[in-house]
Amino acid sequence: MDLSNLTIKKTRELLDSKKVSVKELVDYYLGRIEETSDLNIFIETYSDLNDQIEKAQQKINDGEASDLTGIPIAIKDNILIKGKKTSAASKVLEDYVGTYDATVISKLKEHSPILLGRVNMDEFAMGGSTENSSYGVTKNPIDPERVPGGSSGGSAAAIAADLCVFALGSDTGGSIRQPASFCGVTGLKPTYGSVSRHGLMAMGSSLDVIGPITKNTEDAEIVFNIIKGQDPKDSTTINDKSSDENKEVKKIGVPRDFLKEGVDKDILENFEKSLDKLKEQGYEIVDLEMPDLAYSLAVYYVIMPAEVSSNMARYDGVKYGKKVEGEDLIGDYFKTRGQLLGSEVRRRIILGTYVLSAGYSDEYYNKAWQVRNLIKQEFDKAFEKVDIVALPTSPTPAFKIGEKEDPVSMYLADIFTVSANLAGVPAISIPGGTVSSENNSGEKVDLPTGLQLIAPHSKEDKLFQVGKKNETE
Amino acid sequence: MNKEEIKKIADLARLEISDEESEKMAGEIDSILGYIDQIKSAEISDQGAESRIENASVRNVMREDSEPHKVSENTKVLIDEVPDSQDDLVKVKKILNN
Repeated sequence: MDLSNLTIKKTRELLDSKKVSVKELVDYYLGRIEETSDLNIFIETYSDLNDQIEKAQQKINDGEASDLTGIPIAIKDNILIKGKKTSAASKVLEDYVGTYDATVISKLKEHSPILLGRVNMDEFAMGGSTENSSYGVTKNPIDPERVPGGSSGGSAAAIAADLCVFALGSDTGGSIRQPASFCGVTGLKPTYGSVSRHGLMAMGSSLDVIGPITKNTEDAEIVFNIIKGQDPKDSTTINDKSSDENKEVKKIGVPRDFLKEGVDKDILENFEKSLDKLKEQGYEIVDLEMPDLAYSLAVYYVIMPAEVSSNMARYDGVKYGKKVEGEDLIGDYFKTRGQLLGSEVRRRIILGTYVLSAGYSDEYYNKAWQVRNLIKQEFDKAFEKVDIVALPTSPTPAFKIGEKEDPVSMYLADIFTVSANLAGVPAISIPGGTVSSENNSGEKVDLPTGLQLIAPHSKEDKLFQVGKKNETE
Repeated sequence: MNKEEIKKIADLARLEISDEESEKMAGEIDSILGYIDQIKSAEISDQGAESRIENASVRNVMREDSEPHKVSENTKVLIDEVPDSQDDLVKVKKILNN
């Protein structure tokens, strides 16, 4: 039987009708993982798969299956699973074993899915290419000379290479949407606070959110509805009020001034084609003026490193992870952090410490928060006029491994994604056509691009509405 | 930024950093700050200048301090992850000299 590119619904049908067993399904994915091991997507597949398979199959046989029973899933290496190694792709946590289940994992486990293993990422989710992993770079399944994006590069590549049904990632400034766009799959960054971060290794606490990377919009919706919800263990979680209205989306706004510089020409052409398609589907496309969006990336690169510098303080060689011995206690701190944290992580700690230091915090950190509020207000105003704001997900398609050496050029890949994190609003990246390129041997490759849709707080249903329509028409 | 400034910041952040790396990092941080500096030109109205807390939609959430864990309920699993321990205690080097 052809098991390629299964969605959640299709897999559910096959499992429930006994056309395929959980074991056959898992064996298919393990075979795929083996065949594609050169792409370096999985860090590890788990050793207790047989137990998981048995439990799920029993549930199916007993007629007690729910949405995700027996569905194989990949988990980003920064989400804790009790008893399983979780390293955030960092040397400092190389042998760390999760001491409890993250809330999202507990919610998934209620269904008895198959947690296949953990997938690669940029160290502590800091990066846009998965090149900053202590396990080495993940290659893009579409063109292995290129990066899969990041930081959830392993999660997106696992979907593009068909190594599981869906994957979880985390998004602080675009880490779900940008790799989804580079790999030609769907990635949802939910509303800030809609999904518990209990058990997610913190990076930028006012920005981080967990979300699904999937084969289509419907799957993203199914997973979101399972993992969302208020959690006493994460006091930033909110009561979800999304599903009680479900109004029809009519107007989609485009902040055109924001697209004038720094975007590849063919990305813009694709974006226009996507807008034309939306128009044909009956949506009204209107121009928006959102001048403060231009500050998004600069604001992000103040607030995020500030929060990073604080969140990374816990990796001191005392409480968990690895330790490098120094002469005295403070020497342990210096050596452990200096030698076991990677260069991008250290760069962000230094930048964050600087923008928070006496004499500079007004100029940088406090000012960045004021501008962040302007951006938030700008979205509020935009959503008085339109239901959804559309942007390209990334200004370029996937770039080549090693191509972006200086930090600023790497950071610019986030230019269209960070604003949704700053405003806390939900956003989805869906496939938005391909652009032609060549690989090193001169062969033509079609590289995927992403269309990003952004909705008001807790209005994920609007994203799903447009995404699903776009896929079927 | 120069090498010495980077060293000073790294010191505050408890990061060991080599001369070579601080030299390289000084250039990188300079170029990042060059990009970030554009926020200085953003115009903030009187309303926008309010403290960030005023505008935050998510506020502190409190709970009763009750139902504590049983003593030692989680000790073993947590101590297993500690790099250096002794008798269920976290072990660190002494910080006071005799």
